[in-house]
Amino acid sequence: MSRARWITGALGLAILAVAFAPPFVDGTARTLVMQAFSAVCHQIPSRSATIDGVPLAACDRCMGIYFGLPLAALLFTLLARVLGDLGRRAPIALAASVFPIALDWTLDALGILENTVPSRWVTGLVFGLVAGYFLVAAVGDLVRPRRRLPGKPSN
Amino acid sequence: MPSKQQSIILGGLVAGLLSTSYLSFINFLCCAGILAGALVAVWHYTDTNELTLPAGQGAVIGILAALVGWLVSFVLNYVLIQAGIRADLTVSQFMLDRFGASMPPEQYDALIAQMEQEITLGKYVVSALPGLALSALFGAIGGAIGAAIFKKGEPVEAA
Repeated sequence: MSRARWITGALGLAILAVAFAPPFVDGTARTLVMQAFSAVCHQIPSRSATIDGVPLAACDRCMGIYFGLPLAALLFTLLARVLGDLGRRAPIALAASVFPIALDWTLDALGILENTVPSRWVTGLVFGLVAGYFLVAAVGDLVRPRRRLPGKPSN
Repeated sequence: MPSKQQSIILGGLVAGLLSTSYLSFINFLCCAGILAGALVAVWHYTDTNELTLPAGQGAVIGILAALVGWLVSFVLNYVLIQAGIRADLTVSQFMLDRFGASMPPEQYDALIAQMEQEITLGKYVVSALPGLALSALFGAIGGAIGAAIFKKGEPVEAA
C-alpha cells in the first residue's frame, strides 16, 4: 500500500479513535472531545451509538463518514476504477456522493420515510468513501517528491 | 504566485455564513459548511488564476478559510445574541422539539438548563474554542480535496 494510502488511513482512524473516546475517558478529556465534535455534529444521543450508556462524540452518519476515510484508503485501487478517469467531472462526483445523505435527511425531515441507523451509516459511508478517495489522491500529491524547475536555483 | 487573500476571504465568508444561526444546520452533515468554504476558496483561486494547486497549498488555503469562517460565524452569532436573537439556541430548540420526547429526563433537563443559562463573552469563547481545532482539520481536508478535484492550467510548484 502506498504512503498516501497509509497516511489517509491513519488520519481517518485517528478521527474515528477520538470520536470513539468519550466512553473510555472521563472528566475534562470527555468534555473537551464532546465540545470539539459539537462544532461538527449534533451529538443527539438517540442518533448516536453508545458504549456502557455513554454516547460517542459523533452521530451514526458522521461515524459512517469517518469510517469511509480509512476504508477508501484500503479500497483505493477498486475506487480508482470508478472515480479515476473523471477529470473535470470530479467535483460532480463529490457533489453526487452527498445526494444520498440529503435524500435520507430530507425524507425523514418531511416525515415521509424515517431514517434508520443503517441508512444513516450507509449514506455517510458513501460520502466518506468518495471524499476519502480524493483525499488519498491529494495526500499522494503532497508526499510525492518534487522535481525542481529547470534553471531554478536551489536554496 | 498570485495572492490568495481574496479566495481565503470568500471561502471564509461562505464557511462563516453557513455556520451562523439556522444555516449552521448544514454543519450537521459532517461540517459540510466548513468543507464547502474550503472548497469554494480553492475553486476560486484555481479558477481565477487558471492554475492547478499542489495539495499542500490547497490544505493551507482550506485551513485559513476555515479559521476566517470560524471568526466570521463567532462574531455574527455573538452580535445576534447581543441583539436578543439567541441564534445559538436554534439547534437546542430544534433538538428539543424533534427529539425531546425520546430524551432521557436528565438530558432533557440539562438541555433546558443550558438554554436558560445567561451567555457571557467568556463562556461563549470557552465553548467555541475546542471546535476551532476540528474546524481547521476539516478545512485542511476540504482544501486538499479541492486541490485534487479543481485542476486548471499549469501546476504550481510547491513552496
